[in-house]
Amino acid sequence: MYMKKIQRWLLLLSLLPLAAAAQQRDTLPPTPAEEEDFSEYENLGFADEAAKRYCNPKILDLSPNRFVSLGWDWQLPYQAEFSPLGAFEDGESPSPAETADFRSSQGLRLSANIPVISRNSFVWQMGANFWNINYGGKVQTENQNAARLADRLLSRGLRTAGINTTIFKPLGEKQFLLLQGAADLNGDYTLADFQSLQYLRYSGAVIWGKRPHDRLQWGVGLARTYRVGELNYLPVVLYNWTAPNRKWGTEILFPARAHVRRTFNPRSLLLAGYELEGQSYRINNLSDEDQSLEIRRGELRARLEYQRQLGGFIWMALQVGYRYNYSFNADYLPNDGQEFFRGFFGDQRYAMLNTLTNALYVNLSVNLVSP
Amino acid sequence: MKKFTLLTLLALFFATFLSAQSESDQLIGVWEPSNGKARVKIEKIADKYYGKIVWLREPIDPVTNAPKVDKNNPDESMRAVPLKGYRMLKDFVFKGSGEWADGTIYDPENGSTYSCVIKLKDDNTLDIRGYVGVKALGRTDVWKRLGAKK
Amino acid sequence: MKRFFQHTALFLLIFAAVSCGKVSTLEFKPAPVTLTAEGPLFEGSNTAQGVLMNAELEAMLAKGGYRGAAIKSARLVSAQIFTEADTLTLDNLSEITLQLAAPDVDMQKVAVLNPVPAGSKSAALQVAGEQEKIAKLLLQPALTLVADVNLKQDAEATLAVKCQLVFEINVKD
Repeated sequence: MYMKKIQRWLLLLSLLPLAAAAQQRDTLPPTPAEEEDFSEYENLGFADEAAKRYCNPKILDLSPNRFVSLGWDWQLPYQAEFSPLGAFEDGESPSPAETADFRSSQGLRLSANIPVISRNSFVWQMGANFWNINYGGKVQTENQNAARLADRLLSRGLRTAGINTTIFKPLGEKQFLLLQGAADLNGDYTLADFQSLQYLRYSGAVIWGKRPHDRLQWGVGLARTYRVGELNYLPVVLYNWTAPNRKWGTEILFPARAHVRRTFNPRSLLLAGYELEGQSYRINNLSDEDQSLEIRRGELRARLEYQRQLGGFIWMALQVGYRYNYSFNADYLPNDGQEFFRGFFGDQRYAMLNTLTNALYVNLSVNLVSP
Repeated sequence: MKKFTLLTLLALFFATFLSAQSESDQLIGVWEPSNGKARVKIEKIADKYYGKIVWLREPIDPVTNAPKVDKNNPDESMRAVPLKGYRMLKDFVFKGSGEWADGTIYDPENGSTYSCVIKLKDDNTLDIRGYVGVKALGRTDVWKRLGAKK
Repeated sequence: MKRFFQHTALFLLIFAAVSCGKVSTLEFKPAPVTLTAEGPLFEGSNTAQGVLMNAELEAMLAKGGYRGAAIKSARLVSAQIFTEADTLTLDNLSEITLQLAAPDVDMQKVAVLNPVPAGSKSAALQVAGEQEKIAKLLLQPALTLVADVNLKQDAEATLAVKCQLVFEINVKD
């Protein structure tokens, strides 16, 4: 239904310039074919000698970029245990104050990515995204110290809304610089009870890379990320490659995601791999006290993703996979929401240590893809 | 005097016509897309502009060891069309102010056809914008004019 | 109210049946068009062109009591190229791609032959499975046949090959 509407809308828009341009013209006799020496094209140079060639941002057969994506993410049943509020060292196992049987956690995932400047020598994209997670299930309170976080999840869910930007700057024909930045507002807020922008969480990456030929680009860099739930600084490796037979390839931005790609034809492909997904979600005024927590949600999604063209520039993507919980712990961040860095080796204590069992998940999206 | 006015008007008319004609034909020539993989000759047929691939950096398909063909065409019956000589720019109409529109660009790498508008930035540079539905949803490739090496 | 809907539905059905009319399929086989590319020609991609005038189609339709407006759809069903002179073959052509063009309609690729069989004087092109706007093209005052041919070697003389097209046309009675 949506598909048809989008297609009709696009068709209508694409016809507008044609309609405006309809003009009467006389039929012309065909122009005589010019004599053409094919070998002459071999020895041509730029007419403007100062002109340069630049490295392309893509390689052959990469899964298509998405201008607009409308999807639904659905995790199948799993259990969760929540500790009471306290100060716990990593690795401790406090007895649960709340347990929950989540029937599902699911929600809309909407994103848009629009090129602002798209030239050979500079590409700048701006994007926006909105993700929603609604929890369904039953909660059991084990003792009176429970923070009632599970109740809050059931009643309000979690959401992420953010903007992001990507800049691709070729450094000549073979090298490039890739800059990414994002600002996200994450929490259990609603439109009526919106969250202060002071809790925006910023992430970004800088990658320097090379593109030796049309089937390979690689790069190394550094990322500030929330993909493991809490703030972290990680080295990143980009490795996008397509085999000479154009059937196989990789799409890797390690550690955020890594996939092996099987291309069936230019209109359908399969990805197998994983993605780290996470954010730090602000939960204001939890329980009776003025406790303001941030849930450090980080998970690894091992998955198969099938992408295929539905028609024109509308593609669908179906992910089926297993969601491993990495973290659902919570930190107590005082009211100004001042972030801190724990990394892998920090010894700051957690306000809650929570565990989720792993779950199967499905994600279906319809996407408008880019040229 | 009347004759003089008529002649002046006629001369003005032809001058305007000729300059419009030469402006629209500035698109004609051999151009190189940013990826440098092909060279495209733009010519005029029946009042519209068409661009065909006249040179390929890698003319032989490494898998088949034969000259490259349009193997990604969604229409299976047209997959034998050779890429050398392929018309990848079609049906461009001159709109004035250095712009040609209403045309399409075909990407042989994935068999997709996009709406396209061409802008002449300077004598030797074209902005080729392929887009999906609306111009905002597109990508611009800068093509450079080729000429005999000096 | 129910009766009103029943009557409306019946009326719409009858209206649809009457307005659709019967559709007949005609074969349109115009006289062969000469495709020419002026010599001298060089090895590689060249373009040969020819024109098919709409008058021929109009005459055929008039004979059957139809007018151009009656055409509902059309498709190219066969395309054949051949040489007229006894001494000439299609040997210098390695491939040929045939397109139809007119000022007010987008160019349509309609047939391809790759490779052109060696030693032949005539060859049938593979006709496109997906065809669009053929009826609209046929209704233009003149239809330009654009043949992109790859030549195996340079040729001094003008290239001239004949092209026989056959269309299937659906017309409303």
